[in-house]
Amino acid sequence: MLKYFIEYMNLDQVKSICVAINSMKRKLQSGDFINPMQEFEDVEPMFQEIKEIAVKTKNERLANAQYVFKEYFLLFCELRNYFNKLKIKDYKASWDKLQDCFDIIKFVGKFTNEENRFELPSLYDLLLEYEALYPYKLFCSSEFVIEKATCSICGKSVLGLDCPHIKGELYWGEPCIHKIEKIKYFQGVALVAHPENKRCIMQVVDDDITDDEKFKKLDDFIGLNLPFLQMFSINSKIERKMDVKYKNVGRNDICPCGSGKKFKRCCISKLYYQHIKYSVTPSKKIELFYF
Amino acid sequence: MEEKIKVINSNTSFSEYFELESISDNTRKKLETVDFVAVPAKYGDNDFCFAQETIEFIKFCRQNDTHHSYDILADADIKVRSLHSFDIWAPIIWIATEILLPIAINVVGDFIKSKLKGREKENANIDITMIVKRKHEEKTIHYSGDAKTFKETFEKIDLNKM
Repeated sequence: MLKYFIEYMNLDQVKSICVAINSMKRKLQSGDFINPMQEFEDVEPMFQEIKEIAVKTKNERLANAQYVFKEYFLLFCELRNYFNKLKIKDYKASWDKLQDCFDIIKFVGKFTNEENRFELPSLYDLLLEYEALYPYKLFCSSEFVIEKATCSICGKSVLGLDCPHIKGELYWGEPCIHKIEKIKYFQGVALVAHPENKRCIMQVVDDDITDDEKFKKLDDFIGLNLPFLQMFSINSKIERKMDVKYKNVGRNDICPCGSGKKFKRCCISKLYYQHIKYSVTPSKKIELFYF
Repeated sequence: MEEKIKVINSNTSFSEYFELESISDNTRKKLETVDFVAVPAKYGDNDFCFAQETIEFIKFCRQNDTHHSYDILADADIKVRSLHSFDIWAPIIWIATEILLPIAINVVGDFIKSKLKGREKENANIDITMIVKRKHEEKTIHYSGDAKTFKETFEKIDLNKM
């Protein structure tokens, strides 16, 4: 669908959109994250015009291609948005932006053959490495029974076979979305590692861990000041570290914990603790595709 | 990811569902006249629900295989149990005769492929049950495991010996 869209370079709107996306990619590459949505707002009416042309010329494929390309365009805005959140250390909010980027890459991939996805596979791999730096590993997945849901294209019920549309597919430049209107009951919430939506994270309300501690791994990485589009891998090694509290305590000294026992008969097992040491290996920079 | 196939002799009856939901005779007959029928399962105390992907699966099959008939065992709209993990919760499929089992495996394989397009690098499980009519007996085949190896797992098995 991406390639199909740029085949229409003879349309002024397609040409202007390609110029705009090239400029945005350059900004992304140079680390300019100011006004990340500006370009998208500028070109959005052009996508609408292309859709109208497609409808007028009865070209559903072009109508759908403009939607896929619009999402592809949006991805680079969201990437700038995401990296900006990292830059200003707004790590909590950056998680949702990261998931937005994943969703768009997957959506575009659904409509594009693997060999025509340009830089998307590399960006996906890069974002996976970023995702691994967050503390979120378990997510909530709700279970419920749907009694009424309708199709965004035809308005018919999607709980029967009358509606001909398939969820997630495109029809004349619009995605088919299921709108849930009535839930009979909630059955529960499951903890899963691989949910449909990773925005529903698990957090313990009254733990003592500060946000700084939670995002330490990510923060340490950002502190390295690598270019945001630099591929990298993280390796971890378990090391034994001496607890400084016990550094000057001799085996036969009274234990500092206040038990009155000798250290060797009390807290000596706490002298060393396990520590995970991370090392970052930078690799190639991602080459963005210019039209 | 581990693939698990469980095959058991079964004797499925939908009488409770038919009674509870006042299912018409025409719908009841689908079990004898339609090649592949998506059927509900009982959840909780009294509720019969269909798996999350039921309608999408039947629509997909109808679009991609016009040689066989696909339907749902319901008069009107169904109730769907929605589970928002990325795993594929495929319907329970009633298969009219054992010779159609390879067709079912093929179409489920194609359905998985379409669901994973754009998400090729992600791991995903599929949960699916097929109830196969075999003359006077019936077998229930339940697969739970890696969605990507669904088809090849079944290809390694002699379906006649199930």
